[in-house]
Amino acid sequence: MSANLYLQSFEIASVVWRETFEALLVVGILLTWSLREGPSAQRTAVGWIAAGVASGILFAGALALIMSRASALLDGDAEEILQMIMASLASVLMLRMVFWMRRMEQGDSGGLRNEALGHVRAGNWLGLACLAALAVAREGAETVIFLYGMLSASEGWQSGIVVVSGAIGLVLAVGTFWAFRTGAAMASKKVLSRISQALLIILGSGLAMTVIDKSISLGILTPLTAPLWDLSWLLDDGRGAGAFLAGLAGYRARPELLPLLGIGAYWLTASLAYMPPLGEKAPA
Amino acid sequence: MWLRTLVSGLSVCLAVTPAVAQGDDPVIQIHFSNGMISPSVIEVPANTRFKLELHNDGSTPVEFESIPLRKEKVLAPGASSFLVFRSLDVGTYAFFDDFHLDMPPASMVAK
Repeated sequence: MSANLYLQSFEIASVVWRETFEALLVVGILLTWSLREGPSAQRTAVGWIAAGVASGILFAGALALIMSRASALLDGDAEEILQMIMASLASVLMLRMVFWMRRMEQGDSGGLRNEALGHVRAGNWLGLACLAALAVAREGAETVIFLYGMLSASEGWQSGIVVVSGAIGLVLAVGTFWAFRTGAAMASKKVLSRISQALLIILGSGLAMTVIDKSISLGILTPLTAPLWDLSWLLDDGRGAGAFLAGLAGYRARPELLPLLGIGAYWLTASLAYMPPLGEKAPA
Repeated sequence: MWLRTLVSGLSVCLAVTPAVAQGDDPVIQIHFSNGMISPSVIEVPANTRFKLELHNDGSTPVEFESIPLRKEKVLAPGASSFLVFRSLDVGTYAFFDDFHLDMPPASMVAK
């Protein structure tokens, strides 16, 4: 009985950690990045990010309510369409953020276009808030249903265990977040910026693969071919490290042609941020 | 700009999907109960549309998940929902309950 209970609370903690990991990573990057700005920009940025996180939580709660009320609103294709929109918005915003970071890096060294940069910053607060909101809302609804379901399934003192295990999962996630922040505080601005960009591009790649998967699943696009190869003997995308990579970066063990083209296009777009700027115009 | 493209793309797919979704697609049932999936090998028609009805009979939440099938769906205890599959090639596709990873995976066989 008690071994079973340990197993269950471990399961709850790991699900909560897994589901909140990506959201905290994104919010962590946004916060760390904004805190490196001047004090006035800092307050604005943190305000926008907090607003984004709050609306993300509200949205996740509303989604969870609709999904668990067995309402037909999100049956069948509707949920997949919603996931596709959210993933594509988030992925585009992440790429935009990378381009923005790159532009600021170049601006820092040049020191000539400060005015223009100020303008760029002002215009991006809303994007910052949207990105935070999407990151939280995307996996948030599942976490809410999971925790609420576990809670309603248990009685008496057992519900206390559910709450504690959920809290442990959340603490683990916040610990991951904190480790990231501490590491970030020690890193130089340049290193921090590079790591943030790399993480955003990787997360965006996973989201781009979600968009491709949903559009194939909804019949909007066809995969073009049968799977071109099968790497599941090497790294299975259904379990362990492979599954983690699949969720985070969009790894697929048996990709068809279209997912490969799509993800290729994504990485090509991302790499444009690292091309030398064409004259005055920065890539956008 | 990208937003407008996305919105127009969305309105197109919203306009198209319900029209196609009508009709009597075969319905296949699957039941989840605290990590148990029944049937654990489920036969479905290949190269045709069908609806997969998911029921969570257990007391804990479940998540139907499959990368090869490109589907994921979370169900609260007691909840039911469905997924629409458009065209599966002949073959075996693994899926699992992402909230009960200690339980064995199940598979869908398209014939």
